[in-house]
Amino acid sequence: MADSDQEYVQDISDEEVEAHIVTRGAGDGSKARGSGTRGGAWEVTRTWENVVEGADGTISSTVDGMLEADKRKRLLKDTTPLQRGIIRQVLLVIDLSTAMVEKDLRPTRHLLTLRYVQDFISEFFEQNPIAQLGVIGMRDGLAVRISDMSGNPNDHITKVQELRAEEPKGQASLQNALEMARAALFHAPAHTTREVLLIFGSLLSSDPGDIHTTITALVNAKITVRVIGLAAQVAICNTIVTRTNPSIPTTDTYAVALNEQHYRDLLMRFTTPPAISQARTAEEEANKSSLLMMGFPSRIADQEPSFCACHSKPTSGGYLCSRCSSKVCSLPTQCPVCGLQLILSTHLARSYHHLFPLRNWVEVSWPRAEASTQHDCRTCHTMFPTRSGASGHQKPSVTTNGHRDAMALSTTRGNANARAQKAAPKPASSGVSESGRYECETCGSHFCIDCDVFSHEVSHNCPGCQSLEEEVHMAATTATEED
Amino acid sequence: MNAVDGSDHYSKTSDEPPPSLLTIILDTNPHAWALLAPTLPLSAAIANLLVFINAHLAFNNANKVCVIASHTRRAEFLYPPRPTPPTTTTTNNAPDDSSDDEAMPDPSPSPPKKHSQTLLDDANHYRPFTHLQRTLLSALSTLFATTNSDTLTATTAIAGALTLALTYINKQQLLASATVSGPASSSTTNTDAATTTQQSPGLISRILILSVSGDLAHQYIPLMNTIFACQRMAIPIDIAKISGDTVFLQQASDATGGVYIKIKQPKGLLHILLAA
Repeated sequence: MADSDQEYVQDISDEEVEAHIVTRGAGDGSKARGSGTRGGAWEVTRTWENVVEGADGTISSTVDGMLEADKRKRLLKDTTPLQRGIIRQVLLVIDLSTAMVEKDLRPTRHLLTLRYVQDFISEFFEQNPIAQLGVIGMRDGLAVRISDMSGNPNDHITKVQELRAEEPKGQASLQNALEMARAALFHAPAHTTREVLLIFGSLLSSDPGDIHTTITALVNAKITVRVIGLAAQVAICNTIVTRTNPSIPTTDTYAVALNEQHYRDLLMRFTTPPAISQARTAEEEANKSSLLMMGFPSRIADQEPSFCACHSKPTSGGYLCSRCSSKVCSLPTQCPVCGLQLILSTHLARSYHHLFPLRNWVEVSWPRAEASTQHDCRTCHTMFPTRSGASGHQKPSVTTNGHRDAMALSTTRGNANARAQKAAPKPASSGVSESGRYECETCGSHFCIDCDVFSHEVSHNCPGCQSLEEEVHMAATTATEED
Repeated sequence: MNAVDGSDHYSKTSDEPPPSLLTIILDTNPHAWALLAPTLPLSAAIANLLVFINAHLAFNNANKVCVIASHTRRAEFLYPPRPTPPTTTTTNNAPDDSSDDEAMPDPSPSPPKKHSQTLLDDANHYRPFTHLQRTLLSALSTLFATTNSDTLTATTAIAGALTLALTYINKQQLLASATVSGPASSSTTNTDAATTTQQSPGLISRILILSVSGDLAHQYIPLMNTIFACQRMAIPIDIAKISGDTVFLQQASDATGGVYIKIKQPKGLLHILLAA
């Protein structure tokens, strides 16, 4: 008994050492990823050195600039239109082992995970209304089925909420969980994606057999696995991720949460449907299903309650399947009688913004800002700062040795101009516009940062393009309408 | 010490319902209004609308209003006027014409005086009402003045107007929550607009669309995008349909929990606005 304990400790430290090596090798270039900071005390970022006192002796301007940069950072995503798999089959694997009792994420990893997972589920179905989700837990070396594959967010959320009462226990087994996920996703039709999202808090996995055979089986079944680590990078996760996502860089598929906010961001990143890799589509060209049968059922309201085909409960309202006329009580679903996918057109419309994303807006430099006739944000009427007002209000990205500059305030204006011009040729590096303006390249309107964030994250429309005279666009459409 | 106590006391007793922002989208498609002229001319409709807006403003001092015109090919703000540099705000007829500003370095004290004088002309009017009425009417007249017959189509830029409205509401809500809970917390919570607005209703918003024209197929995607954004932000869209027929707007009000009223007696617009 004592012997095995000894071995076990040895195992952990091996794992940890391995993880550290991985961290050092991969995490050198980018601090933002900061993989495995918990283990790596050598990766201290001196954030306080970025804070520069402004001309008025406060650091508010710097703080504002950093907040703005932070907002903006989230926005700058790839907007090239891609073919995306919007019909997703996803299995979420949650770690329920003793490692989740740790309190490094407040209140505990376990409770925080459950809370974020609930948010994730609602957001996931918001973004992917015709997707299917299932939840699996890893506890006591076993894989526990928490909720079955289904398209109803409430099922999952209630099941996940029940986990709150149970304490995490035992160890996690990656192999068991992945095998169960594979069994659940194996039968997914070819037009859907097969994805596993693993939330992994442990640093080890106690497996009954060789996990590498499981990984090979996953690769053969075309299941992609993405991992969010809570402690440190683990070599086996890295292997799983690189083998199942050969064409995507590891940074997009495996990350370790630095703090609560970062954890949330990592989870939410998964709500965007994955791009369909070109290699895979070429390979499956022969039996590719380019068209898919779907039914758009019509709603009925009966006087007398009748049984629905999905739950066999008497309901008075419902939807009639457009092929076999059986009644289902909620959409989206698969018709339980004929197997037709039944959706509403709004469900499809919800996914449009993934397919036709709004282009990123570009930063506006001072010379261009002054040349423009627009003095306020087009939508919210916030006045843009003028250059004279902003020379004492430098952004941290521009100011490198700002402390001394702030002392010599009388000369700052000249300096600021010189620096602004220096900064101008390399746009998009900092992500923050020096003039506080962001321009839509299509319509040429300028917006403030808040409207920029809102337009890209929530409304997915450009207020300028939609509200200006769309001469070309309108002419084209009216022409086609007349034809 | 006294001052501190006083301010504490004051902030705690302000237990009234949170201010509400009413955004009205007025469909100003000239074709449709021309057809409506025998029953309800646009001027009468606007007069009714002004009474409604005044009623809204009178409910709570902090209530706000935003009026957006959804014109044939563009959407324009009518009420919160574009904050041009102070030199041009006095010329009541051109609040949108911001091409010639900043060139004149006029002293700033004189324009506000003139401005207040013009407002004080009418002693029988509550000043905010007068201000709103003047701005709205002048913005409308500039809008019509800049419309020429070439650009006339029987369509309306409803998606653009909704997008403008949503972006404006978002900004106002950010500002409102910033004043309620301090700037630091607002900037951290606005990472996810959906959760923020549900957690801290510093400002209750709703959208009312006065619609007179029909659907446009090419606006489907942007319109649906705005509807989903409304759903996320928990903003109801109410529709008052005076003429024409729209399926999209019916979906909009259904999805966001708003009211869809097809007005059969256009002359009773005011009654319906005030009662519903």
